[in-house]
Amino acid sequence: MKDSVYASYPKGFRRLERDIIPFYLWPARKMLMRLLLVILADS
Amino acid sequence: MNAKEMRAYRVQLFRDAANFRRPDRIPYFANNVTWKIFDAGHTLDEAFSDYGVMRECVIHFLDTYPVDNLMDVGIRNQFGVTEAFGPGSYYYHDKEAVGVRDHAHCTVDTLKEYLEDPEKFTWEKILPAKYGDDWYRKDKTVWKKTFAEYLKYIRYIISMSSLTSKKYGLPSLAPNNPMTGAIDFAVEEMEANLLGIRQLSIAMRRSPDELDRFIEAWDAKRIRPQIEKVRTSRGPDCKYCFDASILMLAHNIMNPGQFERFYWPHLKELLDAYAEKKMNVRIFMEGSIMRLTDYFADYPKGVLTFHLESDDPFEIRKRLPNVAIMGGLSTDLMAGGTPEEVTARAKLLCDELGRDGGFILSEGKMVSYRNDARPENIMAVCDFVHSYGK
Repeated sequence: MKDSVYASYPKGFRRLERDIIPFYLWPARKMLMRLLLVILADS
Repeated sequence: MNAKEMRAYRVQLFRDAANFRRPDRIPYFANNVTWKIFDAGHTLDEAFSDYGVMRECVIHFLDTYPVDNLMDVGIRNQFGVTEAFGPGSYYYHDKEAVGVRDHAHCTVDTLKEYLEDPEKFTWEKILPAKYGDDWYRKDKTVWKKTFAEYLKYIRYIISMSSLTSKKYGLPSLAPNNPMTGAIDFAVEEMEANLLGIRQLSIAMRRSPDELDRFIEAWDAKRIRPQIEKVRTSRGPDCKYCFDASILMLAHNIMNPGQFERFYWPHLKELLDAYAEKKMNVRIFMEGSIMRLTDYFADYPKGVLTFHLESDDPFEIRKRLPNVAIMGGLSTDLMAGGTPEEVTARAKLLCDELGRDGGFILSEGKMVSYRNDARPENIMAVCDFVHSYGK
């Protein structure tokens, strides 16, 4: 993402995780992000 | 019976049928997807944009038709999430139909890169390609809105699982699902998402060695752990109707030689593990498996249940007397027949295929469109299974 703070991987991606996942869901972040990516990529 | 007892009773019906034991009655698995939305008086747009409406449609279906299990409780189409993120979906819908465009995330040359780090590849290649310039403008606001929709979707799944289990006594179909680890063979993922139908067809002829290497690496990461899980398990888990549920579609674009090379060895290794533990696998055989029945002939009874989409169940039983059959009700009959004709067909199927177990009534195709079935015909199947043999 050229002009987005989330552009790089893994740094920007990890920052996105911190920005959008509520504190109480943090332990499940890997599963949540994996499924979200599948939905966005395959649907 | 209360809901808990009903769940246990229904699991037993499916388990008995799958293991060729005479069940108390023949179970009915409703292969119903979006038809129930129309039956409840809604359009797809209305149901896909409001989980409350979708829930109402599922409740209407289960209140009306006492089925033993249901293919989908309104969770297959997560359009709320993709629409919050913005245009770019491969799947689309209008008031009457859902469709999917053939798409390809990779080329044969980038399959390896994808498998080395799917998250990185998705982030750097797939999503930018899918969303074009818009991808570079997705800011925190868009992501937060999308994530909020995604959490709504997860909450909907959890609430429907609880409702169907605790109020309607519907059992879980099988332990594997996207949350707990789906069973997905390399050729299926290549056909559905990574290469698409066209590229995979060409690659099987032009780049078979590259495909072999990818499939081997995919198996090491995705299939072997599942095999290990099966081998160290305690055998059948009677919380579920089946011990695994698998979908097969990619075999339809393969000739027997290609199936033998790219699909069968990998499928066989997993099925053998289930067979060793005397566990039962439901395979939704999309399209036709008729050309390839010989491969499955040596498994003992109680290992395989084929949910047939297009194949004639009587012919499959002749070729594979060891395989339990699910299906037998075509959408042509469910839409165009009378309740008497539907009942006669159901009786014939149960008399010929299920007298001593080995058969589960179901629609072959997913009942999706408004004209895929008439309500009175679904009711006729429900009435039939509750009275047959009594």
